Amino acid sequence: MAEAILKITENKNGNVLILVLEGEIDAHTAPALKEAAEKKITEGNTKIVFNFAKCTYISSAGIGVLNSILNAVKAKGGVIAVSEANKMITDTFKVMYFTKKVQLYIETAAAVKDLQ
Amino acid sequence: MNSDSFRSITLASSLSELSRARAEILSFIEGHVSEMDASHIILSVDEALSNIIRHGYGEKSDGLVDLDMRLLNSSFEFTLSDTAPLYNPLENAAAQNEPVDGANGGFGIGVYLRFMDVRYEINENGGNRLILKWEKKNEVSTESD
Repeated sequence: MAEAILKITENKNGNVLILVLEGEIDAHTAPALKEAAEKKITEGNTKIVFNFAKCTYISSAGIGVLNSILNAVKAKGGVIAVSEANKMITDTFKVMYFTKKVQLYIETAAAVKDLQ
Repeated sequence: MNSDSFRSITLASSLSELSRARAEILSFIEGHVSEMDASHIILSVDEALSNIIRHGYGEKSDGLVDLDMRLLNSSFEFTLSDTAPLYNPLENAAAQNEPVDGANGGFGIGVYLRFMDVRYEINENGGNRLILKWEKKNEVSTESD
């Protein structure tokens, strides 16, 4: 079994950046997510939807990074949301209290609409 | 010797090994537990293993972690053995209420304590041994909000 891979692609809908996460987010791949998101925040993006449709796993390292990103965008008056997470990832978000801080959406379009 | 009720793998102390460990665990437990229970088991062992690699070995790649998996009637036992400096995570479960990027792993300890019965032992050779036991009765609500 090869090491975990996380592929991050992006698209923009108005002033909302959508980061599509594909693969696994663990202690090995979480730094890549942090680097990519911080770069986008530096470029001025403060409304970000993380699309988890193609993401199969997240651990506390990944949610730690998401918390860090949340704090960074909040400091700039922004917001983040999560969309299309599967049942297991949604459960992990609940285990780690992330659902208390970030809205989860079934559909990305609904998340984008709310953030605009 | 590996069988349907026992499997042992050796992992390098590299975070790149986490994915392989998760795949091995899933392969060992699938068919015995629900999809959600499997998710909790994999998450728990992954958190423990991540802490050993990140904080026990400090990501030095020359260390090893043995992962023994046992099926015991209706329970699973996962034993993580390493030769990192002695460290009992049960004495150091930090009171973090959320995962913090770059933190000391305290939240991860809380995650596996939520789903597993855990005990820590010192190996005869001086290394650490962490035993995580999952039982079917350990049905834990994950609703936190």
